[in-house]
Amino acid sequence: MALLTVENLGIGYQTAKGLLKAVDGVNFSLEPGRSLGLVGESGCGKTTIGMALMGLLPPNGRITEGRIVLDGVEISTLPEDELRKVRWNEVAMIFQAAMNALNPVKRISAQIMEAIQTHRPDMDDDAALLRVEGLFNLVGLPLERLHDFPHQYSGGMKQRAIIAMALALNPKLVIADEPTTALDVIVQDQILKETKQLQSQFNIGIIFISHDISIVADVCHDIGVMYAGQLVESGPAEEVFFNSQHPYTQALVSSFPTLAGPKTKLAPIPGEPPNLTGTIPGCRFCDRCPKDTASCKLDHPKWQQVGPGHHVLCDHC
Amino acid sequence: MRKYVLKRLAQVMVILFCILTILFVLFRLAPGDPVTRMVDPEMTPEESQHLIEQLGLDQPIWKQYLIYLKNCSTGEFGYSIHYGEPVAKVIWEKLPNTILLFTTAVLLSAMVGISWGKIAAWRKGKATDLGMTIAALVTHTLFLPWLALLLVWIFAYQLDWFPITGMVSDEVWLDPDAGFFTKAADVLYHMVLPLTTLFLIHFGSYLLVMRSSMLDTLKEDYILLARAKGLTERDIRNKHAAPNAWLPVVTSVGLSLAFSINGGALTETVFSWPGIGRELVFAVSQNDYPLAQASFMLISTVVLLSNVVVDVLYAYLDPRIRY
Amino acid sequence: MRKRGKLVARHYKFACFTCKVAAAALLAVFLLGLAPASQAASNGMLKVGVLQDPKSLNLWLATDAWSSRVLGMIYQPLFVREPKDSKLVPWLAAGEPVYDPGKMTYTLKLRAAKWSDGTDFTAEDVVFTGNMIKEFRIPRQSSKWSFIDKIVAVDKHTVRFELKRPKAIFLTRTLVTPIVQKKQWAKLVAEARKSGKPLSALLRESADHPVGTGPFMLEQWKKGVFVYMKANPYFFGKGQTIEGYKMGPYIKGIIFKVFGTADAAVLALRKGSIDFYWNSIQPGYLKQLQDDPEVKLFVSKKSGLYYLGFNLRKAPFDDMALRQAVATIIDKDFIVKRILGGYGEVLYSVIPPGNTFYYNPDVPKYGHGMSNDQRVKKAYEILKAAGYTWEVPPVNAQGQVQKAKVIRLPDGDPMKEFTILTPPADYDPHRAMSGQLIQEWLRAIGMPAVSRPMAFGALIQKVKGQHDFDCFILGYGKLSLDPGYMRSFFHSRMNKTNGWNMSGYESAAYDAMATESNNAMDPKLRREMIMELQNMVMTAVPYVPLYNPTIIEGVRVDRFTGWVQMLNGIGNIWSFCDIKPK
Repeated sequence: MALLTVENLGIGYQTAKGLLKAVDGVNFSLEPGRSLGLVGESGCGKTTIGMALMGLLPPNGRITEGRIVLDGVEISTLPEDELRKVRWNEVAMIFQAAMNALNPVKRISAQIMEAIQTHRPDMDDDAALLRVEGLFNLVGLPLERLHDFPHQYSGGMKQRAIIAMALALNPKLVIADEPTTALDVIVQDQILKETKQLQSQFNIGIIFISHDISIVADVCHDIGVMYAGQLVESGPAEEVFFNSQHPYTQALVSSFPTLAGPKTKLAPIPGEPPNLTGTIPGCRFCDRCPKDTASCKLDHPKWQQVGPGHHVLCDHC
Repeated sequence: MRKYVLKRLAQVMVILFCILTILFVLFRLAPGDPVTRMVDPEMTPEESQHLIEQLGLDQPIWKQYLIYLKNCSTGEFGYSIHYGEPVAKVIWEKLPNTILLFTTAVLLSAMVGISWGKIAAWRKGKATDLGMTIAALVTHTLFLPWLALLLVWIFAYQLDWFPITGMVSDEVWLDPDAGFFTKAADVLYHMVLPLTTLFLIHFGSYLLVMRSSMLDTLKEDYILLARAKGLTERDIRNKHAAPNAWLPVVTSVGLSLAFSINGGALTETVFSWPGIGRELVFAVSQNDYPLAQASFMLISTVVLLSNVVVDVLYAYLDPRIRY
Repeated sequence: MRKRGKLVARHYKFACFTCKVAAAALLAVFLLGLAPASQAASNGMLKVGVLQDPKSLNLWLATDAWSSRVLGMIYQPLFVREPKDSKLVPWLAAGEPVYDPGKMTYTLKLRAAKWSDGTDFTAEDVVFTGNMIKEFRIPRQSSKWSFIDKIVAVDKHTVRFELKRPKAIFLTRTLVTPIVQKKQWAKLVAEARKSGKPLSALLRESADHPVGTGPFMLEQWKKGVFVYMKANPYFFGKGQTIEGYKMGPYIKGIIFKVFGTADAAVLALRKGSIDFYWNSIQPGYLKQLQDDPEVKLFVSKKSGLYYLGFNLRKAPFDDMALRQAVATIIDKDFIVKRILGGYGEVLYSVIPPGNTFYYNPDVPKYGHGMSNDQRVKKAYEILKAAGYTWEVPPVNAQGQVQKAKVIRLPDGDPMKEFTILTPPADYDPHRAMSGQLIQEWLRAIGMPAVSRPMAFGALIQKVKGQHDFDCFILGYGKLSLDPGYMRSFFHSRMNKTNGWNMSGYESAAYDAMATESNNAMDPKLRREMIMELQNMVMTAVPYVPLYNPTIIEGVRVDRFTGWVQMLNGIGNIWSFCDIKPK
């Protein structure tokens, strides 16, 4: 049974201009111990999906259609009290370290212990601290820095602390939202490697959210490319990265430099994503698409299979 | 830290010396002198002159300044010209009354303002927030004497729930059987209206500061993380949001507390409260130099010291700040 | 960008908030329960509302009106004014002083009174008080004793005053000096003498347990809150009939309660927290008090003088004609009617009419009974006759009043702008508003006047200290009934820095008569001279007397009765000795 199933998920934000459909008709599933990378530019809906998986949509956001099933439980309809038990216990999240995800006035140890003791109220302080020490060893943080405040840590250390926190309760699913964006390349590389290793060690399912397709391709088993609230291409990482079919994916791939790949000119994608408040009859990418035809604007594109497990939402691929 | 505090205290001493001098110059520059302004036809010019000499006000200004400095350095602030008593005694008679009322008022309005500000921010845009914010803005802009009189009129005169101003009732204080608790209760009873007035006028500013500080805090990612961790809303608000939102509020409360010792001439007047604020205004208007100088010195000292305390407290509250 | 998570906070608890409300409610109940208990028996205790408590119990320092209210109950003089005609009558004295013109001595018999500590009041106390005033040159008192060569205690109850020269104020001022107890003050005086600045030291002596001869004695004083005075069992007047009043006190005591504002005091009076508000009530409160059946108002005459003063040391105010014209143009009736709300009287002389013995009703009354146009015409006539000219005169060729423009002095120069200094409106709205009105009236005849409110201390400094001013409005709320001030206000010797002749009026004839009047021992003769002095002043008009407000006082009628009304109101020693509980 799949760890996570997302079916026909639609998420809307109530705005002054009307309902903004941030996510529209998204389907995917994740097996235990596998990792899925969600890629796309800002505003494509990838973070919204991440938040929906934790039940943390902002007050004006709601799931308009479809469902999210985690380990057999439909979390999209759970009441808040139930959801709170699911959070961190079953789904944890790795935040971006540069973004003040750690509370500046609380010690690191206290912040991790808090996560543990919230869900294990019977665990006393000593036991919780022991657990935190174990986590520190796991992520390679020195124990003497256990009781430091966040500002005393470097960016890489903070990121490790956040990872340690995410692993604190042995969650089945971890959502990593841009976990390495603000780190320098070497630290980023280290952390990604360790993450990958921890994932296989503890058999955790990971949803990896990033705007950088090259990183995702490196880390994840599968990739889902998102554009304007829709999944437009999905499949095994190598397939999607090296054999991209959707014009948007192709543009995305070529807009990042790779050390390994051939030297190509970086191609920025001209144009902007469409406005998501109204209804869009045809393909959402057609305004920026080099393969655009008249029919693209009129009809919804259909999913096509282009390889083993490799699908693309385009009538011309 | 110790070094920092010592350094700050040294700074305070230097600033106090400057203030000492400024106060002296300021009061001597003010027109009139304590004797001339006694407009009493019974007093002949010869008597005025004699009194000026007796008070040492005929000395050259630099000599008066040196005497003043010498006295200040020995903690001797002289005699009030008006009361003929040591200024320390005059201040000491009135200061506790002021502290009792104003410091309580600051603490009360800060406590309530801050906790309500927390709630308002938490329920931003909802009826609670709207109600609280509007109440804060409205009461904050009320004219104190007007509000005071209104409260006295309604609750003391019309409803007869509270006494018409004052600090104690003579019946209780002249009753030989009245014990400490009866007297304390009597003072509390008299404090209700002035405290309510001060509270209404002041809680709004704390509420608004706390609210906006809290709103800023709520945008931070650690709040999102706290929520993702599955904490209850209450814990998120009180353990994660509030301790960070505190920081800017601490300065405001610290300084208000410091300034509360100078009371408020207006409040003390409308509530017939025998505090230091009225004395201060009176001392200045009567050219009672020793009393005015000593009072201002006291206030300056407390404000400066409380600044140091606030800074130290800040370091305690925010681990990012270290001296 | 990450969006904030959904705030689901419906279940949120007001726990701590609820606790606070509960605590507050509990406290309120507790306090309210307490309130009725404090309505303890205060029978026979008169409660008096005041705006300030005494600044000290040292009567030589605490000379202000508020201090006098309390200290006046304790320290008594040899003579006091009686209520009907404000004549001086023996108080601690047993009768009128006997004058021996040959030796220039007065011999005075004293009452067999007692101090509030039970000891006898004797001639020694009088001798001691007089000598102390002379020795320390106590302000406000020393000039009343400096002409006395020797004070001798002839026997226990007889004092002889040996004068250096005759002085009218011996009877009217010296004998009204409060007498202090030698026993109490001898120690304080001895201490003060040791100081390098004895007067300063004496004023700093705290006479914390004042011993007096008056009807009340201090029992407890909570600073800034209340002063509790008990009836003095040793009061010499008790049971005696003085000036037709059978003396009490019939009340157990007086509690002076301090209020910060007149608002609070008036509310307290209406509510019954006080029986008497000892201060003049502003016209604004009268309506509500008149409608209150529990409150009775007393409207009494005052010995006040509010006036416009000129600086005679500089042009154009050195010109008598101009001063007379200004006096003519001021509509005093309008000021009294509009600014004082009718509660006051118009003054034409520097001695108010309430001082019936010395008041001169026949001084020149500038502008008296005139209409506005008549006033302008009269002022115009005076000024024109004195050589003033206008670009546009206030009266045109047809004899009609018009708006004047640019008045020129007799030498042809246009009059420069000048200032009328007044106390600020928050200190005294009446004087500030009068300044405004006078400015407008003066402008109507072309005089470029500017009324300017100035902080009181600064105003006194400029007018009395530096003589740097054009015109000013000042006043005295309670002038002494002895007209000795006729000399200090206008004698040329007083025309000096910090002297009382602020206008700088100088006249040899006036000086001579003023001095003579102060030395005249025959009251009738003195009266004649004072009449003439008023005439001289009102001819030269260094001051334009404006108004004398009446004093309005309010008492409750439910608990006490028998208030004695006299000049300056019902707050007098006769009232407190005479009121009885109902």
